[in-house]
Amino acid sequence: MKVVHLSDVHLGFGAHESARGRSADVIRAFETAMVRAAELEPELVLIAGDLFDHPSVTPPPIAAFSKAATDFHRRLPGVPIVIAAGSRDTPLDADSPGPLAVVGALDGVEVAVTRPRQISLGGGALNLAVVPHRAVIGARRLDLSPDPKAKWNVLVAYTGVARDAGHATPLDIRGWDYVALGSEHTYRKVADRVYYSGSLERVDPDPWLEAASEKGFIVTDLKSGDVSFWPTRARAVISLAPIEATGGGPATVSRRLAEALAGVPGGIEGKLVRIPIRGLSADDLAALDREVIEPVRRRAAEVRIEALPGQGASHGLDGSAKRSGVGSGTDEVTVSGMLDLARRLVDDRRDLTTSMTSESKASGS
Amino acid sequence: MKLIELQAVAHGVSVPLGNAVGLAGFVAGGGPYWGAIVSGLHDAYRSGGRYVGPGPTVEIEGASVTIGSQAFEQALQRTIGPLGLGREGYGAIWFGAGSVDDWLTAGRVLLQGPEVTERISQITALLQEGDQPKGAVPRSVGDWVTQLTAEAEADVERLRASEANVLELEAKLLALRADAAEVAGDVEVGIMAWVRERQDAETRLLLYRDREQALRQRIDALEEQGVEAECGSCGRALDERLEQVLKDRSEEWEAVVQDGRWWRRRRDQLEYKPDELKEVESRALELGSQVDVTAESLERSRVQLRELEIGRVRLQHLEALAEQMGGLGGKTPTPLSGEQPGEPGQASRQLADMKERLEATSDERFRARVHAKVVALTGGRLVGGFPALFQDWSVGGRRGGGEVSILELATRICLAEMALSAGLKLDSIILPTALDRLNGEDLPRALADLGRLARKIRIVIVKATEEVASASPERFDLLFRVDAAKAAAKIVAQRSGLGWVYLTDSGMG
Repeated sequence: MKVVHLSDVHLGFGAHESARGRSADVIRAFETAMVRAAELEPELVLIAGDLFDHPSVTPPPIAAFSKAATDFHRRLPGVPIVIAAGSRDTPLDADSPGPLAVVGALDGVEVAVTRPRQISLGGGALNLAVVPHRAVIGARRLDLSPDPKAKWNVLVAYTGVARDAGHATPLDIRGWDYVALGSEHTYRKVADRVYYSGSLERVDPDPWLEAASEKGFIVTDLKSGDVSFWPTRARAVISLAPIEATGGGPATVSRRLAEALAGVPGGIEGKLVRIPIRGLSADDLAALDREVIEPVRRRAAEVRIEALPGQGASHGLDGSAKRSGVGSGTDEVTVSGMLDLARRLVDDRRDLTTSMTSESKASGS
Repeated sequence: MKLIELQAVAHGVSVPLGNAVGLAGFVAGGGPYWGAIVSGLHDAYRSGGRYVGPGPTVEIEGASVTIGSQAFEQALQRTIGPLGLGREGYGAIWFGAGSVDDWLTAGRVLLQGPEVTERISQITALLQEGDQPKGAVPRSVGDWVTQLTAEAEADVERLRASEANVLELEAKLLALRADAAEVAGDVEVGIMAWVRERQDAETRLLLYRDREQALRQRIDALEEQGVEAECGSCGRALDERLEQVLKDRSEEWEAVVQDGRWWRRRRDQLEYKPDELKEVESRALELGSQVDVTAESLERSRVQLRELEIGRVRLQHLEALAEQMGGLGGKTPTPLSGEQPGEPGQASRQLADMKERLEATSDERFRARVHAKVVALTGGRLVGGFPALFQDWSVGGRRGGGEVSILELATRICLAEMALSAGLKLDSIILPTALDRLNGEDLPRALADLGRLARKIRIVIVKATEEVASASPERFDLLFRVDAAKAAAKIVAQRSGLGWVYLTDSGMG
């Protein structure tokens, strides 16, 4: 039996002006994945949480899911799409329906939002346990067990997996032919037959953290136990090495930035670009933003600027160990001199006051 | 100080924090409770030890203490005293109390450190004393810079020779050590040769003694046995050959005795070290002593070299200072209109100028730090607008709006981080400004940063809306929500974050 496992789709992600097109990226990744999944002709599709980016998504993400699900079922009628709610899909208020309640009304779509569900499919051949986020958080135990009469037992859950018992809820995986997990954005094998599929696009607030990981979904054959990862095409990310301003100024940074951008293979058009700049003051960076960075923003899909402190600028004013100061070495040198001078001025003034006071006492005035 | 209970006294509602840790969101849907909680906190804190009645409490040394009580004030002074931080500064860090000026002052104090803060306090006290006594002629800033620079230059000049000295002494020490090693080798070889020769002489002497004894015994036996004595080789009686054999043995005996005496003399000669060997040993000792002396001189020169480096840096400080203060060194002080040296008020003005410069440097550093945080939280979106935004906000010009909200949040986070770096024990902070004012794109980054802060401070309490909390529930550890279903409203705590399972029977350990 072939099963498609995806998770952390985050439809509705990136609906902000400065992240132009990211929302469309996420929708496109999901649509593409569903088309690819349909071509593979699975008998079950599992979405292990965070289908939507937040419980109050606007209509377009909901419409995107509905269309993709409808197209899928047009090709593969009767193949269920089963969704476990993630932390982002779940309204804070348990009585509030949320977007999964909307999509759960579609034919061929089953959801579990607040409590676990056990669903029997294929005339009892498949026993499916669906565990949403809210069922795991704070639970002492999960009353789930495979059905010995079923040919296949599959568990889908939105949860983290702890390394030790600690405060985690125990979950016995004996008897489950496959455990589909969600909540992590990176494909990962946790144990035999236990996997995170990862997200379809780079949906972390810091997408550069996911630069090295492929995005995609899993296809597993329950009979053979084969598990294969099917990558999807995610928006490219570029992280430049820090552009040094220390010892130079805005003109230096501008030149170095132009060189760095020109050296990016394939250019920066349509990519997510991170530009760390070291040692430039707020005022100089503002000027650079207007003249140099703004044009870059028009070329890239998203530009993230990082303002790093200058080299060696980590001391507080009194030179004490590792304070939070941000400044140049020369600044610290000058401050040290000022402190020296301040000491002399204060001591001189005190000596002067003392000697004048003594003199006037001696003269009786 | 860790908050253990917040109260909205007028509404009879309390928020028990207990052992709560992490990032806690107070989900207020526009109701009165959050405002009442925050104003109650302000009132209690501002009372300065005169607060009476129920109020928010903190944990101090295991006991529950009401904010605003005498016990709280004493603990507060113990906490902030070592840093030179005033209670306004601590209030700014802890729950955003006070004006923008209080926040900026707290940042300045944290960055400049206790020594500089103390120095500025001294200057302030002197300025408050008023003008210097009449007739006194204070030394100007320019004079002081000149003197300090001259002292630094003299030190550098005095120590300059140490550079050449170090090189020279290093080369000399290297040569001496080479010589000493060579001579030490000669000594060893000489001693070995002497001992070997003496041993050889001893051995030969013993051999000759043994031979002499053997010959003596043979001669005695021949004389006693006469012609009946047996030949040593064939064993037959010597008969007429006795005389010849006696003669041969006697001559041999005399030769052995002669040689033995020579070897005894030789052995006696070698009893004591030869003079040449003594000379080499003496040379080795002398070289060893020279190596020690030279090494000591080198060490002293190296110390002077380090002092020279320090002196050069100090001179550089003063030259940079002179440049920054308009070339005061050796010239007239900062020009003040109509001023003459010795004029009343000049020293005060100079002190005030120094205080202003020290404070301005800290302020600039704090601004740079806040700038970096704003850039991080906005992904660089506010890079272009930051200077004007900060300027307006710091003088009280701009209030409200998403940009000011992110600026204030960045400032609060910076203050907390700096306070922790400075060693302030900060077990809880409150951010009363609603996160929903933030730009939607900035919110996830802000929550991520607050989550990181919550790992260093036991609890960080923020005001959130339903939308904010549900948009990133995994960032929160705890949510406090108002349960108004019952007759008396109650604040309930709801776990947030991610659920965790522990797989069993999976071979995972």
